[in-house]
Amino acid sequence: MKRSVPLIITFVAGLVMIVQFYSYPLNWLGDLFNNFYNIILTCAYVLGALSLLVVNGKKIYQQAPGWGYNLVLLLSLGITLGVGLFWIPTGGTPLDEGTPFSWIFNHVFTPLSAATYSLLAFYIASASFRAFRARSREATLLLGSAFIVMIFRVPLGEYLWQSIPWLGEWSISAFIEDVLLGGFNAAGQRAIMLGASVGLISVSLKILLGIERSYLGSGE
Amino acid sequence: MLDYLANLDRRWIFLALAVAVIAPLLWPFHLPVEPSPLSRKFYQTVEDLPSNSLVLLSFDYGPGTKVECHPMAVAMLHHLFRKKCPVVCIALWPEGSMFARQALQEVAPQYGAREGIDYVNLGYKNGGEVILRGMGEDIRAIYSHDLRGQALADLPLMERVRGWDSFALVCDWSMGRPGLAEFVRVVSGQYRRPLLAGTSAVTTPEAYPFLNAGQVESLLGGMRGASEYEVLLGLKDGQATRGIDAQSVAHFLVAGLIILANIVYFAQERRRRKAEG
Amino acid sequence: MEAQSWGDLLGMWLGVALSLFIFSFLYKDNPLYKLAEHIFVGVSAGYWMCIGYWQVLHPNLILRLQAGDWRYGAAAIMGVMLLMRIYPRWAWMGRWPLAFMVGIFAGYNIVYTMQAQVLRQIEATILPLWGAGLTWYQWLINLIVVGGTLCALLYFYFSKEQRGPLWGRAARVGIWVLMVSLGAAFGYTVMARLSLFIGRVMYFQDVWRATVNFFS
Repeated sequence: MKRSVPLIITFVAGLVMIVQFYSYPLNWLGDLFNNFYNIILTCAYVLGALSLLVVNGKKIYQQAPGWGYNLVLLLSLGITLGVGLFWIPTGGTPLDEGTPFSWIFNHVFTPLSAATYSLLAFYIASASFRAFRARSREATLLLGSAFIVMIFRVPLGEYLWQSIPWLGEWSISAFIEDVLLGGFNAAGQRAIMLGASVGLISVSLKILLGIERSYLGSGE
Repeated sequence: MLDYLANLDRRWIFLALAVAVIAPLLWPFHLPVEPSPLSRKFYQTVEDLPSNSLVLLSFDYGPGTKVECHPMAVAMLHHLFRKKCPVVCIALWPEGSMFARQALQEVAPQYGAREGIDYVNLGYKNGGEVILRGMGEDIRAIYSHDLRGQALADLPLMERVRGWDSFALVCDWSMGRPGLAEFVRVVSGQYRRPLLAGTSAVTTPEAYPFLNAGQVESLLGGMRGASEYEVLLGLKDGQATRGIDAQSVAHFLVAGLIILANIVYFAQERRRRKAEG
Repeated sequence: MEAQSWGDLLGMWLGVALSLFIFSFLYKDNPLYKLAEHIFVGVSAGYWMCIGYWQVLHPNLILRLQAGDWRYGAAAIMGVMLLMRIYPRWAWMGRWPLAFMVGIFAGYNIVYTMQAQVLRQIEATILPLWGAGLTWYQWLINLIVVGGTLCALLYFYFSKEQRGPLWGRAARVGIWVLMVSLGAAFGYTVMARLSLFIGRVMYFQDVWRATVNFFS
C-alpha cells in the first residue's frame, strides 16, 4: 500500500491533466487539481523551514563550531515569520507597504539577495581569464561567438564598429540578432530543446505508467 | 612576466572589474543606444494596441535580476498608461508581486492611474504552468483576492476579466523558470494570445527558438534591451540606460582579459615547445 | 529612491552594510560575510513562507474552507502529509502528495512539451530554401536554421557511430553550430552577471542621493 497507492495517485492525476486538455467539461476537475498543486507546493515551503529549524537547532543544542551563526539564522527566520504572519495592519495584510515585513523585504532581503548574485560578476570575469583558451577549432568558435556578443552588443562596441571605414556601414547589431542569435543560436538551442523535450516526454510517460519510480525513494 | 600573468591573483581582476563598473557610473560618457529591430518590434506591438486594451504583465524575477527586468517593466507601464491601457499584474515568483507593486507605485501616479480601475496587482501563486492553465477559462479559479487582500468582486477592472481570452496582449518579465517557457506552452501555445517577453540576459539565447517559431512576438534581452526600450519611449531617467556605459566598459575589460590570457597561453606554449626542442 | 522617514534611511544604510559584508568575501572568507550569509538564508526562508501563507494558503485554502468548500480539505490533508517527511517513521505519508504533484507535472509535460517544444519547433524548422521573393539574406538565415538544427540533432544521435563522409561531417558541423550557440550564450551570461554588479553600485549611488536629499 505504501508504494502502490502513490503509483495509482500519480497515474490518475497525470491522466486527468492530459484528458482535461482535450475535454473542456472536465475543466472543473483540472481547476481543482491545479489549486491542490498550488497549495501542496506551498506547504513544501513549511517543510523547508521545518528542516532549517531541525538542522540548525541541532547545531545550536550541540554547540557545534560556528553555532552562533546558526542562532543568527534562526533569529532571522523567527523575526521574519513573526512580523510576516502576525503584524497585521488594520484592514490589510503584513505584506502591505509600510509594514515591518515590507521593510525587511526592501532593506534586508533584496540587498542581500542581489549582492549575493552579483558576486558572480567577479567570478565570471576571473573564470574568463583562467579558462577561456582557443585550444582547438571548436573552442575558437565558442570564443569568437562570445567575443562578438560581448564587444558588439554594447554601445561602445557599436560606436567603434561604425567608425571602421566601409564595414561600419553594415549594422553589426542586425547581424548579431539575425545571423548569430536568430540563426546559429536558434538552431543550436532548438536542437538542445528538441533532445531534452523528447527525453522529458518519455520520462513523464514512464512515470505515469509506473515504470520510473525513483521519485518515491528506495525504502518501504 | 608570463608566469606572473598566468598566475595572477584573482583579486587584481576583481579590483579591475570594480573600477571598470564604478568609474563610468560616476563619470558617464552617455554613448548613444541604438534600438535593435527586435526592440523596435516590441515597442510597435505595444504601440499598435487600441486604447483601453487589457494587458497582463507577469513579474517573474527576483532581486538577483531586478536590475535587468525591473526597468523593462517600469518602461512598459509608462507605455501602457500613456495609451490608457488597463493592466493586470501577476507573479509566478514569490518576490515578483512586491516588485510589481514598486513599479506600479512609481509609474501609476504620473498618469493618474487608479488601483482597481486602471490596474490591479493580483500577487503571487505557486506552480508555474499549473497556475497559467488554471487561469485559462476563468482567472477566479486561481485568484480570489488581490495582493492587498481585496476580493476580486470589489475591483471594477476585474469585471472585464475572465480567462486568457480577455487579454489583448500578455507580457512576461522572466529570469528563468517558471517564466517564459511556461507562458509559451500555455498562453501562446494553448490559448493563442500574443505574447511579448523581457528576459534577463542569461536566458535570452534560450528564448530565440520560441521567437523564431513565432511563439513570442518580440523580446527585450537584458539591460541592453531595457535600455533600448527606454530610448524608444523617450524616458529621460531610465535605470537601464543609466547603467549601460558601465556595461560597455566592463564588457571591454572582460574581452581584454580573455585576449591577454590567450596571448599568455600561446606564448607559454611556444616557450614550452622551444624548451622541448 | 527616496527616504520618507528615519526608518527608511536606516534601512537603506543597513542594506548597504549587508551588501558590503557580502562583497567582503571577494577578499577572503570572514565572519562578516558568514553573518550576512546566515541572515540571508533565514530571511529568505521566512519571506517565502509568509508570501506562501498570505498569497496562497490564506486565499486558496483557508478562505475557501471557511466558505464551506470542503473539497479543499483534501488539499489540506495532503499538505500536512507532506510535512510528515520530517519524521522518518511517518515519512512514507509524504509520498502521496509527492506522487500527486509528480503526476500532474508529468501529465502537463506530455501535452505541453509535445505541442510547444516538439511539434511547433519542428514546424518552425521547415523553412523555404528556394523560391521567388526569398532574399539572399533570408536564404542564408533559413539555411543556417534548417541545416544547423539538423546537423546538431545528428550530433545528439548516439545510436550510430558518427563516421563517414556524410554522417561524420554533418555531426562535425553540428558541433560547430552548438559551439557558436554556446558562445553566444556565454557572451549573454557575462552581460547578465556584470549587470548584477552594476545594479548594486547604482543602489549605493541611490542611497547616497537619498541621504543627501533627506538632510537637505
